[in-house]
Amino acid sequence: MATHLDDKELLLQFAEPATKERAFTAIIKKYQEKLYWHIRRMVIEHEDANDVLQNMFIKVWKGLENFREDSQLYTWLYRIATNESLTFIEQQKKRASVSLGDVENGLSNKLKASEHFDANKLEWKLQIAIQQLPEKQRAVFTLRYYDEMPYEEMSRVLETSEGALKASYHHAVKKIEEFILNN
Amino acid sequence: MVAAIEKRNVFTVPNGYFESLSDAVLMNLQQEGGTLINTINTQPAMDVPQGYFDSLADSILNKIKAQGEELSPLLKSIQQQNVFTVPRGYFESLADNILAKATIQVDASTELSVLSPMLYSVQNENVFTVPQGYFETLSNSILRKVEPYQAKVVSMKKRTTSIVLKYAIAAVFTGVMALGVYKFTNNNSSSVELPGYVAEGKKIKNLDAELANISNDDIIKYLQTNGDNIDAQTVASNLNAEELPTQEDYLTDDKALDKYLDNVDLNDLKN
Repeated sequence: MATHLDDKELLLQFAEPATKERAFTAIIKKYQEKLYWHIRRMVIEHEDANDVLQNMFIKVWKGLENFREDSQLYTWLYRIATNESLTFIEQQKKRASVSLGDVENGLSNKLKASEHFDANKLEWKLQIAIQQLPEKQRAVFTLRYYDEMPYEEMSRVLETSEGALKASYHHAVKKIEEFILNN
Repeated sequence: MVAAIEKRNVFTVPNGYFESLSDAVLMNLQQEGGTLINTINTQPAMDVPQGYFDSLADSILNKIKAQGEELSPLLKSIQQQNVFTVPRGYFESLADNILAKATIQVDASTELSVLSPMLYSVQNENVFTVPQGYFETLSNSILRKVEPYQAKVVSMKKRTTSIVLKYAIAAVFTGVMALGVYKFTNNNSSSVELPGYVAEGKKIKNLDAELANISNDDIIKYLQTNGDNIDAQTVASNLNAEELPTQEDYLTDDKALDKYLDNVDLNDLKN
């Protein structure tokens, strides 16, 4: 695994015109996989995840010079990625002009259309169950379950209180467990 | 019919009846007896002993205690003895312990193992696949979108080479390079006149598309074969750089070379 530069160093390099692009590339390489998978679990399809991820980094390019460093760079990136994913899902809903339930089924259908989908396997059932959650709760669940993000950090990503996030995650776990046991 | 009847009061009431009614009722009540009524208007408000309400709670409590003592002298004798023990320093450290528990950050793994042992036990196998090499090329794709010109020159060497080669080919077909070859090579056997190159170039429709069909290797070989004897400085002095398509023109206009050739006047190239 390649060693990555310290965030502070990357931000300093980004601020200099001569090293801006190199620093930007380094930031992408450092965080691309974590951010990609977070987005992919929300939007399901690779092409959509790629679009969201690239749009997200374009926003990073434009906004990074104004990043106030009052939070971790990682947290800031996750916030943009989550917002872009949620916006993308909302746009899909509007385009489809269908009810909330149908769009969630749409994402489940995308899962079921995946190349190696197997309804009997627990890991696939887990993905279907995750797609049953409302999108913000889905974001809470994936951040905690997959990224093991502390609630304190998650509250900065999702701009929600820690208590509310904890409650949301606990409910999400119970809902998913129930879905898997009943299917 | 009823509605047509005039609403007029046919009954009469003695003058001043209502004004004196209350006094009359009271007088009647007094006359009929009852000490209560007699005291309403005549006796002043009841006095309460000074400090009555301040001591009321204690006096009631004392009465209750007194009753308890009367009920069970036995209970009274044992109620002061505490049989429970408390660990040493318990109360001194209690506040800190509560605060620590209230602010503790449970790690996600421990939390999940408690919340749902079933989910905790699920193999975290990734069901999603990613195209091969996706992450290796991602940063470049994004860089192209944020800095289009620089990114194309810096990162896509093959495309840069194509652009430079097209530029070079443009120079060849406009006759400037040919002018250099014609003038400064020792190849006296060449019977092709200077404007011939340009005339040939102008005959080809959609030159950019034609060039795209020639491999880069062939273009390089052509230049290597025909460019060796060229005096670069002399060529440059004959080259009007302002007239030639710029590098950016090729990036934005697929017809850049064709348009340039359309504007070349063969007569200008004759010696």
